[in-house]
Amino acid sequence: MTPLKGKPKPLIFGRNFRVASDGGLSFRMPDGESSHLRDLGTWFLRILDEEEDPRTRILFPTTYEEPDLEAAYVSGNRERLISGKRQNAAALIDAISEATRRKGLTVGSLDDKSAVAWLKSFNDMRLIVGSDIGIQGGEKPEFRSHDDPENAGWNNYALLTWCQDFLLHALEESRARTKHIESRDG
Amino acid sequence: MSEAETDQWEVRVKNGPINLFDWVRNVFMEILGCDAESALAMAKQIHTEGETVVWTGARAECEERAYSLQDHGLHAVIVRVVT
Repeated sequence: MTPLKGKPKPLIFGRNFRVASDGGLSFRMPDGESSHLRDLGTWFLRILDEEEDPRTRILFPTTYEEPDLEAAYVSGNRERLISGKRQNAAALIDAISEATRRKGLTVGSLDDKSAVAWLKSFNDMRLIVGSDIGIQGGEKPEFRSHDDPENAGWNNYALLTWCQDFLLHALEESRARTKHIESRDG
Repeated sequence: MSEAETDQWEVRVKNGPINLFDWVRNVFMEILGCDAESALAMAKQIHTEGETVVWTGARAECEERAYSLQDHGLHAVIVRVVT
């Protein structure tokens, strides 16, 4: 696992999620960044559609050591797993496509269900991108400069990591505020 | 079934270098219904020992938990309990 210690400096990417005093969750990010996340979602959907793409193996671990049990489990669950991952990526793509754009920023609100779909999709994409760049655990998700030949993969990994981390903590804060308001107001 | 095997199964979550610590903690709270302290303890155990048992029970309920954990991107496997 990757424990995140410290935040990137300067903190530009990822801090795109806000919690209102009533617990409402929203996103607000530069258009370039939202377009990039949407492109990543589209790329992810394409990979899922390609049969037996080796990059997706990390999303579908072997569940049983016993071949007959594994075959039955895959038969009963694999399509449902893939379908869920498709729906989560589609939720990300659709929300960004339908969001308001003003002054170079993409702005929209997220309910709890949508936020969870985004988080799962960020995680799925991180698993593929992170494997691709050889993450072993403990590497800091840092953005790399254009003259680094590996910058594309690392920058995608960093963007997805910080988005997931910030959204997760925003969602927890949103739930805590909503719960507090509900208990206060009876 | 040999004498040493039981009809109990367990779900184990294996360490993955890419999953975020806080994500794993949050998923355990959501899927397994445990409190933050227990979820964090299990996440730490996976990090230090490579895996941990997160659920024990009948095969059907283990499959239900394993599916949900995999749906959240965790490396969950199911193993028969051997005594």
